[in-house]
Amino acid sequence: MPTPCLRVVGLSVDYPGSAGKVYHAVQNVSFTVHHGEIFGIAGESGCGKSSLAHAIVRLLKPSATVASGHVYLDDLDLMTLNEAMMRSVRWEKVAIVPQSAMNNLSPVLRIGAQIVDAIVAHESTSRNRALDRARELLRRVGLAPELVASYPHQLSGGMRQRAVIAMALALNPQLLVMDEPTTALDVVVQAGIMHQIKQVQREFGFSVLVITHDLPLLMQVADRVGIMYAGSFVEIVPSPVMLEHPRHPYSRALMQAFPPLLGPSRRAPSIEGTPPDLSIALKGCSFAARCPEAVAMCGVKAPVAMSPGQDQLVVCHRWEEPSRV
Amino acid sequence: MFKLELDRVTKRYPARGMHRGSILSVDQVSLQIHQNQSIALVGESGSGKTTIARLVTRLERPSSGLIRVNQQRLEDHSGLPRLVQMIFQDPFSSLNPHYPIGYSLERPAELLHRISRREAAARAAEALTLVGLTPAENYLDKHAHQLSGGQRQRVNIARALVARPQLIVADEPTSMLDVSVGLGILNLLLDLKERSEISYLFITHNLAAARYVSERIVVLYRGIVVEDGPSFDVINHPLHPYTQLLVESTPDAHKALPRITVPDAQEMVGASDAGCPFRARCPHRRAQCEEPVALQQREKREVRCVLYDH
Repeated sequence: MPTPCLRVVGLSVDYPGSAGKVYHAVQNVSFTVHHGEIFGIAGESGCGKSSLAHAIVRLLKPSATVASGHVYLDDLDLMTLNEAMMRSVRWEKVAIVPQSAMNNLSPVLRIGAQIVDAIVAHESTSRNRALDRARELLRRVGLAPELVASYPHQLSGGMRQRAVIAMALALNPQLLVMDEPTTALDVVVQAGIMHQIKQVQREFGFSVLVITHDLPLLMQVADRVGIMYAGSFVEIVPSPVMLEHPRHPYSRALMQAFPPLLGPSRRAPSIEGTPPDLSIALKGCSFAARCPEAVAMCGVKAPVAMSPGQDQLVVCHRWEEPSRV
Repeated sequence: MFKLELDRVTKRYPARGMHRGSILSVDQVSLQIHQNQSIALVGESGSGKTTIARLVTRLERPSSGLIRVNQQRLEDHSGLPRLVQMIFQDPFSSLNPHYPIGYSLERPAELLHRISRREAAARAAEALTLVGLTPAENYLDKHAHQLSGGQRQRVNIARALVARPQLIVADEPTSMLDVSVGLGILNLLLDLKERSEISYLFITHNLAAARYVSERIVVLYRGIVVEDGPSFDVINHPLHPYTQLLVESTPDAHKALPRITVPDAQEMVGASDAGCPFRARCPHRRAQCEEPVALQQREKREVRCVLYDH
């Protein structure tokens, strides 16, 4: 087995709450992303997907703590690096496009200058040569190279989002982390950007960790998807397997929560109830209280992670039973 | 029988900042909503969807054109809030945080229907039950901040219902909610429509949600209607190149990621010219696109494109 691009082992993230409570936002999460793979994470608000992404690049808010775990980029354990070393790893080896990044560009600097700043902070190269590279990066994400001379306000939202993706790719990272990269954009622009990302990714072979609540989109983009619920993965499978044969009841419910565009129109059941309070340790499965397929055991005994196939994971007592839905 | 008609309705807003003139938000839009019908307005940001919602609820007045409700001019209608109610996009800012939920529901019932406080309280409880917030007593004394986003949106629907309206205008009612919660809201709207004679004007950027809730879809692009027809037909056989692009771009786990090559829309600046507003992005662009195009009738549908101009 070749070394995976990213290997996360037993990662947990805690946030302090009021009255001494501790919220366990990410709970003992382990997964790998292979070289050249697009790995997608889907889940609803508060499931821990953004905390997981930010923990991987070590950009959590100061109040959050990594309670346990390791994050290996190839063989390098990011959790053991000091801040100076981490700064050099970020952008060079792993780059992040945070949520609504397109609004985080400086309004007073030209697009080109902002990309150049990132390059010269990491490499001893001249600003002129870095600017040439900025032009090439813009071309790569489907923008006109001349836009290096533009200010952010002169570009549409979609163009700004392409520009921040170009920026993230400036130092050829081996892993690109994207948190809701197209959420605020309309669907036509979103589809264009996603197609472009996939094309560039296939050409240069880097890995992508992409997070979104839009499961249908994620399944179009990602080679493998992980469904998160209450701080952990409940299922990880290749996208085609998720489409044909989702094993976890929450995966099935989440898939059904998106009305299909084509095919017969029929009522889909919504998921009743709310996710559990992450400050309280649960005895059983975190989804048991809302699960239409739960049995007595689900409420008292936590299911163990099983691997139905290579690079796959499902955490459900009844994972081997055929779906009753 | 309830009927709401928009007849060549136009809305201009004065341009702000460096721009001169006005911004054409809605351009000669005509459409009809009949009793117990659900119509979806679909389009990207800036296509005029929300402006139409605000015109129909008289939060804005048209610059030209006429809106009629039950054969009467909307602007002269004295009892409009008893006929048309609105659910807003943001459930976190559309309830008064100072008052308990009960007050937010009883006050409109008292004022609109001139009923006693006791009757209004009964109606509020009934509305909460209808939207699935049961038992109602548990919610009447709560304040908005004690409820989740989905619960607040249900309260907003209940508040619309106490007016006993014929039409509910729902402006992106689920876009700020989680998908599973949002689906519950859509199912609630469908249930209410099955159990009563209510009509909806459902505003969304999500084509799949539009089909889920509505029999008819109206596609807007930069303030004009480019296509209008039964939901199934519009999605399965889109006629206008913009509708085709919208269908192709809508995420669908069963389809491969589409290869979208059209340029992004540029920001809208000033009033548009006379030609087709989509032509800059259209793969079928030709000389006639510089001229205004009329809506063409095609059986149960309408489409505004020179491709169908025969």
